[in-house]
Amino acid sequence: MKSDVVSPEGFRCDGRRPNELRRFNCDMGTASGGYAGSGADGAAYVEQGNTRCLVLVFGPKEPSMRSAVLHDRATLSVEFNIASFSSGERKTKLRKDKRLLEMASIIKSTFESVILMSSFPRSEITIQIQILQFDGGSLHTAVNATTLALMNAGIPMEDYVVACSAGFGNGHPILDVNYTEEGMDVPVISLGITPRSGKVILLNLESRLHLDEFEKVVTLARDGCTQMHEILDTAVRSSAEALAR
Amino acid sequence: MSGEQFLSTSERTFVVNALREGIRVDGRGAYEFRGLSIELGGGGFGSAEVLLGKTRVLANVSAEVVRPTANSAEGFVLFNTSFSPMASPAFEAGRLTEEEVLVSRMLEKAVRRSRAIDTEGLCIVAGEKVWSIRVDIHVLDHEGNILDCACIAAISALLHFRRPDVTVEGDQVTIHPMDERNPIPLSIHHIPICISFGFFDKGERVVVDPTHLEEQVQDGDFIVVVNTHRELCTMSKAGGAGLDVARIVQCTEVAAAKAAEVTELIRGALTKSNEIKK
Amino acid sequence: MVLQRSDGRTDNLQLRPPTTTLSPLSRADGSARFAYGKSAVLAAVYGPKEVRLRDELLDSAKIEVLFRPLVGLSGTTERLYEKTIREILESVILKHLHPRTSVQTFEGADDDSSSLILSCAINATILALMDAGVGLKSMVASVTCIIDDSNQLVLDPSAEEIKGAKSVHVFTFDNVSKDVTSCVSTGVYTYEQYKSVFEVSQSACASVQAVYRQTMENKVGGVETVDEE
Repeated sequence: MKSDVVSPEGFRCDGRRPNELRRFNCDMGTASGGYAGSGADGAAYVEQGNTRCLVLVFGPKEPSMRSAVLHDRATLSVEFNIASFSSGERKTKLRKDKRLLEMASIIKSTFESVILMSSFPRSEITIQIQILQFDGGSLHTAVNATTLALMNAGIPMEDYVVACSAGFGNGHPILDVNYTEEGMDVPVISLGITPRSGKVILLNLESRLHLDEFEKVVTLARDGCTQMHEILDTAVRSSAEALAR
Repeated sequence: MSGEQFLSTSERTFVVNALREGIRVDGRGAYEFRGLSIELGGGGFGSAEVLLGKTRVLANVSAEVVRPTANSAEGFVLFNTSFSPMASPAFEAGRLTEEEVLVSRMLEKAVRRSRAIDTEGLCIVAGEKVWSIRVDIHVLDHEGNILDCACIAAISALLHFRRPDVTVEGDQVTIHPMDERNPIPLSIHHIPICISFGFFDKGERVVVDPTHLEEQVQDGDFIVVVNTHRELCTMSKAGGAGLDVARIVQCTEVAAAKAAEVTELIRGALTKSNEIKK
Repeated sequence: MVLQRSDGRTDNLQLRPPTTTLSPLSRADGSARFAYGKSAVLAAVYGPKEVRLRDELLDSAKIEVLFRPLVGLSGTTERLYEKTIREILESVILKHLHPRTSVQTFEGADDDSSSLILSCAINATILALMDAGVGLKSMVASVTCIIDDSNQLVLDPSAEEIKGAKSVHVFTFDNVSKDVTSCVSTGVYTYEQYKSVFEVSQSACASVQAVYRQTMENKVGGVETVDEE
């Protein structure tokens, strides 16, 4: 069955308008006493629509491998996992799945340029990302959750990294694409920005998008990122206030 | 292990200072590719050796008949990259480096996800027999920008490849040897070309097709895969210097122009190799 | 009757003039491509260089060989090639001159995968070692010979000829003592046949060594490519 990504009335399959984000909900971990059993120094749980993601941050700590020691800065290691119960197809994922390795490597290099790595020479920061429920947009949900978890762990960063996705379906740029829409062959751009400078630090596109539409879609994704920044900033501030009380 | 040599501070400042004056270390313009040479058919159908400057990549395409997964009517296209330790002392045999994962994933996304190859055309009997096309990428010499070079090699090899003809009569499937019937080319919808950018000076300066030296100095990259229909197939940027949206749009325009140039070169090499065959 | 071989040669004892390219690679310390007809091998040499701690030898250089096929991953055949090449190199390289180092050679088949590839790999490796300036005791060279189904001796067979062979012999000879350095023979053959293969290979190797010399002379003379068609 082939249906329109955006209906003639201007609604998407989950009832959103094209430029609407999904419901966002988050919990910043160890401060509120959650996830303390894991021994993590920082944690964040994020829901964007039905995509759910848990991120744990360990460190800065002594590197587990001696070969990982860098003398002028910290090393960052990222593990990215998608739980086998997270989506409709129950497939046991290979540990060495190249897609997961690629995701981990994208997130690693994104945050390497934002965290003040040179403050912690000869140490290691580990980020563990677990997608608990998969409904599209795992990359940008993971990036947002990682930002929160790093803040929760008190690791100094130059700025937030906020991410959002945008796609293009039957003539409309759409914001924050979900799993059903991804399955409709909608080209999706995942965009990550550092909100203070407004510059793009992460950009990912899979499947074809015409160059003439590109600017519209990127601009929409950027607006999404700005909205997301406000949401994340409120969450961080309220969790800090709760801590101070 | 010794691996890659560390770059000295003077070398770094030299590269960046030269760029500030608008000069690249090897004398190219900022948006200029290194010399590209495509040698086709050295090892029969579907083999391409591409030299981009001194970076050398060999791609070899082979096909076999396999059983598809559960009643599917689509064939397979598989990529296998090997970063031979012969290419650089930093590559170790049998270890999957992060760079290798990124290159093979980018190739998969550029060629498979963008549906460049008609996989339905690879079906012989639905649910029973399909062609599995295997692309082996061998990196032989690493002088920077392996990805662009590997992408050109892979797509040229796929364009050059011919598979044996097949006839189906009832349950009987006959695969005709190459000398009995003319072998058949793959049906390829569009030619995705990968263009890498390197950024310097916190994103202020940009170059195309960075050399190994520039790759070590740059503060971030941006990869655009685009075809001659001006369709973006894949894009990737992770970390490094931040870029303005305007800069990104400008880069995609440059990439589209470059991709058209590269496609012409590939087509030229194909016509040349076809003439030799006649 | 004029004999016609599948690739147009008219004599069973005719060696195709090998094609050699010296230093095709820029990163490697030494590299060479060697081809008999369509079977080609690209070899690269790194070293003498830093050795991994567990591989360190106190009195000599550690020699590592890695062979990669054109299609797919390396299997047992490639391991066998690696072992053969390593044993030859162990006896040829002046390894005691470089204790606590490693010399690594990498061979990649460019084309074809008959047992002819082993000869190409040995020759390409020796050329690459010379290109890298690694000290050698002698220049060894390798040729392949078969005894075909009509008990005829065929030198430097093509891939089709190997398919119908009763036995395949890969001989490697030294240019100083003119003796055998390595010999890999498979199939069924008599002592007399073995003896004649030995003699034919011995003289064929001498002509390959002449090609080596020519290639190196051209390098020193400034021209780096030889194409002898």
